[in-house]
Amino acid sequence: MKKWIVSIILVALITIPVSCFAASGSQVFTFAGHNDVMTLDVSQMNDEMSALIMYALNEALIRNSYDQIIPGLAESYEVSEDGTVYTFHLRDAKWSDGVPVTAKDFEYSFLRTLNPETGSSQVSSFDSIVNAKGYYNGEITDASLVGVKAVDDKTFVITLSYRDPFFLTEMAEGINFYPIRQDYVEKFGMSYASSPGTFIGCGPFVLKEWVQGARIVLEKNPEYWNADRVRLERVVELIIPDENTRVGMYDLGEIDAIYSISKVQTIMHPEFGSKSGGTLQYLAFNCSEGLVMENMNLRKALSFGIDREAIVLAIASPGTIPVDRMVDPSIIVDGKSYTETYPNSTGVPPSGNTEQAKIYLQKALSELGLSRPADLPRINYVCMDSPIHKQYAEALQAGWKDDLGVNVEISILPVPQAIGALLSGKFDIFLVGQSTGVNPATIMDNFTVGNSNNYARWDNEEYSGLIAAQSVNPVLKERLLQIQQAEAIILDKVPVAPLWTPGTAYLSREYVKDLHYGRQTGSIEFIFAHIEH
Amino acid sequence: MVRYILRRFLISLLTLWLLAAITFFLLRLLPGNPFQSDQILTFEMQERMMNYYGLNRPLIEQYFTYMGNLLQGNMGYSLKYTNRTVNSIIVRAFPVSADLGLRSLALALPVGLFLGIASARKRGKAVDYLCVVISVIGVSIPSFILGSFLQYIFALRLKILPMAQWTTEMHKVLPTVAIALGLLATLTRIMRASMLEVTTQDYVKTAKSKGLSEGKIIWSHEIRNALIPILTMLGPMVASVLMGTFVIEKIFAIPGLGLHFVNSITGLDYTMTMGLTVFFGAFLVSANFLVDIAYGIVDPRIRLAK
Repeated sequence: MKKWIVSIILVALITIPVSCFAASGSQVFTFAGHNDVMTLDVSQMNDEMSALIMYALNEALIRNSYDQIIPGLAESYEVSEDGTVYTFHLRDAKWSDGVPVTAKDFEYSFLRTLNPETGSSQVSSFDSIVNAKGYYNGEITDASLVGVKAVDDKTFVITLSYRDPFFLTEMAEGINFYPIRQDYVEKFGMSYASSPGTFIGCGPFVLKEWVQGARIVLEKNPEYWNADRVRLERVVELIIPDENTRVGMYDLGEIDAIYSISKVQTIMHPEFGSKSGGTLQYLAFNCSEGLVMENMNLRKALSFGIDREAIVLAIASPGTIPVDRMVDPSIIVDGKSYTETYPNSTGVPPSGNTEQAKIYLQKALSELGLSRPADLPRINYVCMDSPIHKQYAEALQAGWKDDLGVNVEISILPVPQAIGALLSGKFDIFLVGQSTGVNPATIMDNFTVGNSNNYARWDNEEYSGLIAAQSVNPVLKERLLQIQQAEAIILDKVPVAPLWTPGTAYLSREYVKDLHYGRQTGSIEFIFAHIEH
Repeated sequence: MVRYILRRFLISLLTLWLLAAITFFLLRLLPGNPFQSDQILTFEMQERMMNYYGLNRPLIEQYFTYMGNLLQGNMGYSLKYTNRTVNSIIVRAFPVSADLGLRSLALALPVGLFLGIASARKRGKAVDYLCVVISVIGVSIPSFILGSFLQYIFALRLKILPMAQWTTEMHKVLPTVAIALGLLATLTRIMRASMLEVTTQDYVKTAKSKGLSEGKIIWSHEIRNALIPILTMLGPMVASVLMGTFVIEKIFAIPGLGLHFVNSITGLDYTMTMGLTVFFGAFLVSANFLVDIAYGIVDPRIRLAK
């Protein structure tokens, strides 16, 4: 009896074919993401997973491809003498249902995003456009005053309120500059872009299937204006939240590419690739009056006491690079690396400088009238609840304790709560990760006097003056110099201590050609990739 | 009887209202802001979003708005998955979790009961020890280890079952087994203890002294009575299993409710957490309501109560 059951199970296991994923010879690309797409509504989109898919489903005026700006739906464009009027000439292109794309679709999209009734969190990307801010803040109700105009079907004009040398790059790298079809929004209302039937794009691929939380299937869009360049017929994104599962499926050959893999997995897969840039992680010290971090020498001691190199080597994902300034080294201005042309440094070597740190610590102690580091008041390091942030916090804590004898307490909070503590100033030390954007001053903009995003609550009039002056300076060279001067101040006073630009590691099968991992951490660019067996 | 049912029904409604109200206020006591994620939003944007979603209005006003909508069955839009209603997310994810849960129960229930009975019958023998070992392992090994272990053996090494996803029948085998093992262990343990207790009862002794056959005693006296504690715990067990399990759904990439439960709380997606709590609560409350009615039908003392 028992043998009979066992043999039936065995036969069943052997004869039931395991579904076969290997689509040999065909142009099918499968990769894994960690999270579902939050929304495909261009105006609402603010997460990486949505941006990744939208990049393939839609087409903006210009596109950032293989780290370069290439034409998108704009065949050509002109910029006025004073650098404030951009005129885009659209090519003959169609939405995936065959309807022609017009300048109206862009005007509608931009104004919809800015409309206070849409509730977009992404409006500040449009700040340099005339009256954009006034419109989204509700000070102006007449949308026609905003500097975006469809002059005719093929001509789209954007007017800026001041010369912004970074505008084009910001538009190319941005995720909210795609066109939107008004009739779709009007037809589906609030549920617009929540399923394949309620969304339409004009990009290289069309959305075929979206099983929420599980799978997204894209197919080549024959109506795409540049369809000749698109070689993949089908792209499948499987949503696999667990890293071990993703790596396992990659090992089994069920997935062609995975990204954002951890340090441990790169040891098992030495063929991994990596890249850095797009984000900067730094420590923000709460300099509010009366708090322990108000003491500059103590801040300096802590910054000099960090062995960034060792922490990166031991914990950070491959590609992570220790930095000694507040500008991302991957930022290119006018074809040149900003950090090379405009040097600056905290003076802290990548492996730290314990001797120097101890000198600063002694100064701090005598200023505070204390004799030993152990007498320092409680230092509260607020840490976001994510594996990597916890590891960083523990490594920093151990380093400060062992080398300097400074005790730091770690409070681990869920991400929204931790950020709440950061914004309300209920911390002494916080590890902030911020997108570095296109403008070298993107992160430094926050630390001006009275700015509600001045996490460090650091007040320096000279610094604020320089930051304010550069933002309206029409001469690019002078502007970049002012940024450099401001940076020198912030690096000297250490309200923030730059740590590193996090990298991301990825794995892809060698038969996938021309796959690219963009500057923004995690973004995987597959639209012009192909399979070659 | 009608009065009894009516009273039970009113109590169920009251429970549900209390649950929703308490969760609503507790949730809002949590520090932090739902619109913050790894990419820090500026203070101005955060305020803008709070205003847009009406989260800056007086809490009591928000409470009445929410309750008003809830009464019409509308749980609002998710704060994270913009453009998707909580209702639509539950409608999509619940069947998946329920499918997985029912499969696991269908596997765990008969096997668990059988092992429990067998082990009690052969107390102190090899079979008993084997069953005890199985149940201890099943109870003590966390599901993420069990899930990964099953994946490693059957998907990565033997390559006879797929690693993850929820598509074909073959994909459903490993997660079902992973959940079933935990359930099975609990069922075995309780059934064994219950059987052992029943065996020493007077009515079993009486049955034996009456000269009834062994099989008849086991079947109609021991098992029947031993099942009562199982039935009591089966209600909550079914409810929680149908609602999905975070760990197994994550490891096997199953688009069920389990992931939403955890992610919505850590991400402070107020509407989503509220919706899930109310849904789960309504499920539990109606299960208990049905059980109460069933008691009423079975138990003459309740049936006759005026």
